[in-house]
Amino acid sequence: MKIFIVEDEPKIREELKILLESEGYQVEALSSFQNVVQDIIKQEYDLLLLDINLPNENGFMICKEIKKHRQTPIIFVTSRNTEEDELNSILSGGDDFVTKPYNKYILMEKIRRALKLHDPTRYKELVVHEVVLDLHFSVVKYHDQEVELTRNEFRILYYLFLNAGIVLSKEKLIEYLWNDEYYLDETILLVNINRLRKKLDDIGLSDFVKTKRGVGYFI
Amino acid sequence: MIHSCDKLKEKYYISEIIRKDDSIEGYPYYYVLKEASKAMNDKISDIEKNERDYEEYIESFAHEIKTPIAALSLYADNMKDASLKYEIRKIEEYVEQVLYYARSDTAEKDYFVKKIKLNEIIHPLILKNKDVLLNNEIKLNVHDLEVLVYTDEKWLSFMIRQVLNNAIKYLDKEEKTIEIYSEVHDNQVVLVILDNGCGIRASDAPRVFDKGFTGSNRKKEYATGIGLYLVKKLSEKLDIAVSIESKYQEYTKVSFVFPKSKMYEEIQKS
Repeated sequence: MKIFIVEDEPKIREELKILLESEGYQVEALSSFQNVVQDIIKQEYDLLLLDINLPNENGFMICKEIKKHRQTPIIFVTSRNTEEDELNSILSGGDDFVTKPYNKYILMEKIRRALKLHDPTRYKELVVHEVVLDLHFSVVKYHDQEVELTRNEFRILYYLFLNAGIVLSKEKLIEYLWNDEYYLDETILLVNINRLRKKLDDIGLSDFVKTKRGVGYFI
Repeated sequence: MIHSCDKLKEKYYISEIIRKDDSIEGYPYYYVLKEASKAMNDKISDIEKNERDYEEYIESFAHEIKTPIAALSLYADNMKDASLKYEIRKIEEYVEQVLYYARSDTAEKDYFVKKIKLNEIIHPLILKNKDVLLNNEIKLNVHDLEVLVYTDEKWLSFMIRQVLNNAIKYLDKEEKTIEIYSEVHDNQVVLVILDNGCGIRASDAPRVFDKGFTGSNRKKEYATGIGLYLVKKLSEKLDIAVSIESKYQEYTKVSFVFPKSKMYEEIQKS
């Protein structure tokens, strides 16, 4: 996934780039602001982060122009959190709105939402070691057996599938799962992992979720 | 004349409505009153203009400073520097307080009432504090927030943020918990934020909403005595009743009470 940044403050641009890259996105940024619209149109990207206050132009006008050409998501960035700005961002066709100072978690959440990365319907299923995780129905299938998962069990397993072969620490799992209006702690995580293991056991998958002592979990 | 003066709300406008008196005895009084009131009016409009300018300056200051704060905050994230991040968070909170303090007197002009679900306000605030909540292993119990209220989103969000910051700041037990939920009663919706922190001494309780009050037992660090003062002031303008119940060294429970209007049922349905 590639994100294109239009932000005239060089320091913010640079730090945003590092942050987004560390989250696994490809990042390009505009550094000259003479012909912003033309420069953006020339680029290939999946999401545009657009500052409202640019030296020569206004972000809302830019957004309107871009949206005439393509429908890739645009997230506005502003330091004024006024109703007026919010309204303008909707009227000009923006997909979302982030206020400075950037809060890392809010920004990442909004990017994921705009890119519809939360939406498991993008893919139907994930397969690791012949085990199938059905993303539409929250079901694990192995050979001809299957079992349904609760929302939390599903989210834990989904994250393990995405990182198959990598050991994930408890802290890492909590940080990932602590989200989306759901705030778990270590006890809840352990309970859910135990239940998940039991369910996997029932369909002949004993020891599918492995523990690396003192480090974490992996599949 | 005495009668019209008594009826006036802003008494210095009296010279605008008194009849001109050309008699030898009356004219000097008429003239002096007229001039004095005019000077007073000029002075007042000067002060009002200064106040507006000052407020505008504070607004623009707050917005300008957010750009460097944003740069620093991103830098701290990238460097994974938790203590720098913690200090930046304090700066952010101070700036937010300054902004709302400046706005608080002209709140009426600025607010925009719409219907919002409580969880749409609460969850982003929690997400914003993810670092602090996770690092301190704070147990969060957030439930029953699928409730609509009719209010200004930004102002309410600011008020809850003050309360949540306090809740986090004063947690002192081994097992730290914060519970956030709402209760729907016949004619009101109550949002509750309950923490098991150090609580408030009974003798301090009546003063917690006073400007500049930082408590006699609490650690003074990072306390301005402005947060709750603003919560009280803004809540009055928004017709939300805020109350605090606490037991020293056990818990603090802050309730926001939203009146349920006749429109409420309609809102819930739509």
